[in-house]
Amino acid sequence: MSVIETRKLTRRFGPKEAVAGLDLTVESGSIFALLGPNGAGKTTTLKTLMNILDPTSGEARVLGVDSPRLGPREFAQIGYVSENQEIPHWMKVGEFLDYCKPFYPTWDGAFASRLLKQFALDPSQKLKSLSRGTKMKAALVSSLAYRPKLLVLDEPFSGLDPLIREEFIQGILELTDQEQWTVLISSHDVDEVEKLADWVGVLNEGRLFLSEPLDRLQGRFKKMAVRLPESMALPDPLPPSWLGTVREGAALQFVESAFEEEATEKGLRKLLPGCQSVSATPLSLREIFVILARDFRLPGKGGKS
Amino acid sequence: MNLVLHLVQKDVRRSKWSLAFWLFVAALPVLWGLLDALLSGKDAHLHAVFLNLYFRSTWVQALLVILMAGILMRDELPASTTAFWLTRPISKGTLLSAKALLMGFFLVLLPILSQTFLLALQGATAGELAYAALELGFRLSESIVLAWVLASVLPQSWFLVAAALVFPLQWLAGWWILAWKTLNLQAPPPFRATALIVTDSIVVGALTLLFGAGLLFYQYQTRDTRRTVYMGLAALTLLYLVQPLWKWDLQKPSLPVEKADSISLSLGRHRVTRDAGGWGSPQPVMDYWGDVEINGRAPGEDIRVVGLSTSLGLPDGHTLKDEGYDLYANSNWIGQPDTQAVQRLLGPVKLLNPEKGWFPTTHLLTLDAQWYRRFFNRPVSYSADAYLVRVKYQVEGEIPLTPGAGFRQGSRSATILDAAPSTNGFEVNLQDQNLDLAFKRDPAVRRSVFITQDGVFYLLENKKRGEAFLPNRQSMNLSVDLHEAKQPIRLAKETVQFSPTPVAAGLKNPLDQDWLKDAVLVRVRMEPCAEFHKKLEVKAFSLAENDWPAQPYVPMAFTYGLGMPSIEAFTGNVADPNALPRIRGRRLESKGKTLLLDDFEHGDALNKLSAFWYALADTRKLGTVLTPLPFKPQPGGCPASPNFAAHIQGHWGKEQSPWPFAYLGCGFNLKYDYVDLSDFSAFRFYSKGDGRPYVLKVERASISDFGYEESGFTAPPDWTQITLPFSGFNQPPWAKQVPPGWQDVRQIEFSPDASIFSDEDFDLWVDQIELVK
Repeated sequence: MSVIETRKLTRRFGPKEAVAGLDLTVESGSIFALLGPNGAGKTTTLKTLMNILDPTSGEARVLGVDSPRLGPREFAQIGYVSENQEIPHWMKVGEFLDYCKPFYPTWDGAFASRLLKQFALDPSQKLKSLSRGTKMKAALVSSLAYRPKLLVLDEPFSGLDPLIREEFIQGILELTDQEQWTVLISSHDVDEVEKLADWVGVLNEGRLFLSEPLDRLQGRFKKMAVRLPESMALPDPLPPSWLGTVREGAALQFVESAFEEEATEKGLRKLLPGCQSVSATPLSLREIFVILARDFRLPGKGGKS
Repeated sequence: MNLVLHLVQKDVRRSKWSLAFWLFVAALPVLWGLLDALLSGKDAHLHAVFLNLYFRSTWVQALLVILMAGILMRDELPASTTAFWLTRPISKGTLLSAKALLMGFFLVLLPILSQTFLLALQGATAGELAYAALELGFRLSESIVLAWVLASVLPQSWFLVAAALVFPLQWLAGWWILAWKTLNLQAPPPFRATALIVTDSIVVGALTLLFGAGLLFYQYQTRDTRRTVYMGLAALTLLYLVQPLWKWDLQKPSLPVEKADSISLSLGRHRVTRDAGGWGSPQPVMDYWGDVEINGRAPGEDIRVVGLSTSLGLPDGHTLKDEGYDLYANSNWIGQPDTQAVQRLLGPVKLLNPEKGWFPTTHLLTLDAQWYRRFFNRPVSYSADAYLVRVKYQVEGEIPLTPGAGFRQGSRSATILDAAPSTNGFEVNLQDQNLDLAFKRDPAVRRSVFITQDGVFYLLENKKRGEAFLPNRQSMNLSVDLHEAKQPIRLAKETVQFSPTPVAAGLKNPLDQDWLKDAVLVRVRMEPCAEFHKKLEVKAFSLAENDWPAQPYVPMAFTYGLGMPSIEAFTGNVADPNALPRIRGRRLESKGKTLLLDDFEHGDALNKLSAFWYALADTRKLGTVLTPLPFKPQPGGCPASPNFAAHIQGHWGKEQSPWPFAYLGCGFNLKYDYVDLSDFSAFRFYSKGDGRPYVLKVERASISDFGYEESGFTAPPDWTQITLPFSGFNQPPWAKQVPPGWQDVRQIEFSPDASIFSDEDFDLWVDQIELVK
């Protein structure tokens, strides 16, 4: 069952299309990471989903409700934390949680206390005196204490030091295991997302480039190293699934974006008869993202794979 | 409701220091009221100090309420995409209810309580307090909504600037509305300035509330700031540009309408003042005045003209509505009592200076003499819609002539500050206090009738002798500003002067210590109680046929008058030229062979026969331009008179309907009477110019369609003498042809030849203009 579903979702700012015909599905219970370079349209997508911005065209449904119709009843089940969201800075952490509490019938005070402890937050501290990362943690606590069905995090790691990032991620992972929340997280911090996400979507120029489970993605992206006779010419054109192809003498390297255990090697040997050795190395999500991001910048690239 | 209170509680905690300061300011009226009650006693001066402190604190409140509204709603702006409340389960209804409750309590209710407390201390009745509370709530809500909208569409730093500007802008807008309406519309009399400013401020306030609430609703629904700003600007434009066009406030006050059968209205006299000066402008102005005789007054009553909408039917078929209104012309007598009504009120008591009272002289019309002198000797018709109010005079109280003595009735009071003889007679310094409630009918009616809001005047009466004095006419300035007009309580200091009629040398001044010993100040209230509408019509008459001698109090002015009994109705059809009067003008004679009309050597616009030269051009958007306006001779002249000459230049508009015109004209005598030129046979003058064709026209009474006889000439490059024999003058072919004749000539006009010129520049000099036998 999908918690978020968009169909041809488009959001324009004047002539610029920040989100262009987005078809996105986030299944219940998944941790969906929306990746993309700066300006890819991640924040606009989340704001449109949260009814902060109206869609220009298309539709978006969140928890089964059209996003422009999201109201108090739905927001009582949604936790939204954004790097830009204002919080009442004049309050202390404890006051802030007390202020939020009456709005949520499912507010769990004991859970909130546990989260405070877990995130090492001091309730007597004023929000305005906290560091950016600690403020994010306070905002996260205020968005988790009522056990939302959907947690939406917009660039939550931005500006956080590594230690706090680790705490933040661990906290979310532990809680997600326990609570079976659906999490939609947008970020360009790929390393952190890799630890969290079980599903990845890549946005570029407002379009969804790919959307699939993380393990499947990592399974089909492999770094290939092939030894060739020096005199052998490469086929022209190169197969479309090869990304970032580099040849140095007898050594050929590329990323195979449609890797299959035996079929890929067989295909290679058929395409490059006489090749001496073929090896496939797994790639991290960061490496996959970087190779994709480079590919976006090549002329004529950027379409859906 | 719990969530509403929860949000209110949050904002109170957040803004506690701002709110504390606001509460202090809001409570100031209570403080001043209590100090006044405890310390002032019968000390009117100290009382005035505390009331002035109260007025100052209302200014601070008016400024601060705008800032406070912005501060209180700041956390939950509708415009933001980062606001905390947008993704929390806070409904718009809950949020807006919380804000309304918060602002309603702190910014509306508390100031109302504070100010009504002060009003109660000043003696306001429960009913008056209710009206005052309603008015204060209305005014405060208007400011709050305005501030809310501004804070919603502006960044915070801009909001502070905008908020600081709102109050002065509102104040300026009030003046602008007043100035616009009084100067550009059909004459709301100046004594209705207060009524105008108050009624307009109510309308503007109501529309601000309506538009503001609409904009807020729209923005909270859509969060579309740009469109909200556009809609706001559109609403503002609508409000402040279209608003002056509303004429409803010019209607008569809402009194019971009575049939006007018992009242007869007639014009006793007319006076036409052709003022050669005024406001530094050389433009002559003709002021038409009339004495409106009103019959049908009951004892103790006065009937006043509170509005007059006039129109003048011109011989060319046009109707001229009120062209302007001199703000200051009437301001000195409104508020003055009518002598006859006072005498009827006093019965056997004798008024010793009846000339100080009000005389029923009404300003009827002002005309621009440059434009309308051409109609001076032709039949015109005059009509006016007169709005009248029946005013009852009531003695409210008698005050001994001692400092500290006073009159008090509810919230209205008057206290004598000083009473002493002056060089001109006797002077009483008074402090008047009254409530002026925007939503209460009675003050609204009084505002519409009198420049003094309360319609009160004072008499000096000696009961033992059975004699009384009217106060001197007061010069009342329009000193009501928007803020003052919005305050329910008014405090005014005024000096009432009593000057006896000048007596011949050697006779005893009647207003002496002996007379004053037994005198009291009598407070009389003029209470409007009914209204009437009468139409005043004079079918057809000629303005210049009835002269009055120049009035000594109109210095440097030429005064003409019209005795109504000598005005005979003109029975013919004005549009029919056959019905025009058969005129034979005064014969213009000369002992020599020529008669010099003008050589311009004097350098002014008066010709040798005491008539004015004037330049006139159409303003019909055809492109016509004429200089100099007003006409003035220019340096340089023909060989015969080298110092000055007449010079007109400019652009002749497109030769199409409604047809351009531009000319230099003058008559043959001061009053523009018709003259008979039969003794002469030609015009002779010097001319130079651009080598283009020009004409000299002769305006005659027999011609009604402007198709005057004319004779053409070319303006040569150098000064050249030109002679135009009368025999060469002809009417243009399009004109209705009348028999030639030179017995009914009014004026001459030098003009570009309309049959040649179209959308072209012209440049003409003329000098040494003569009539030749």
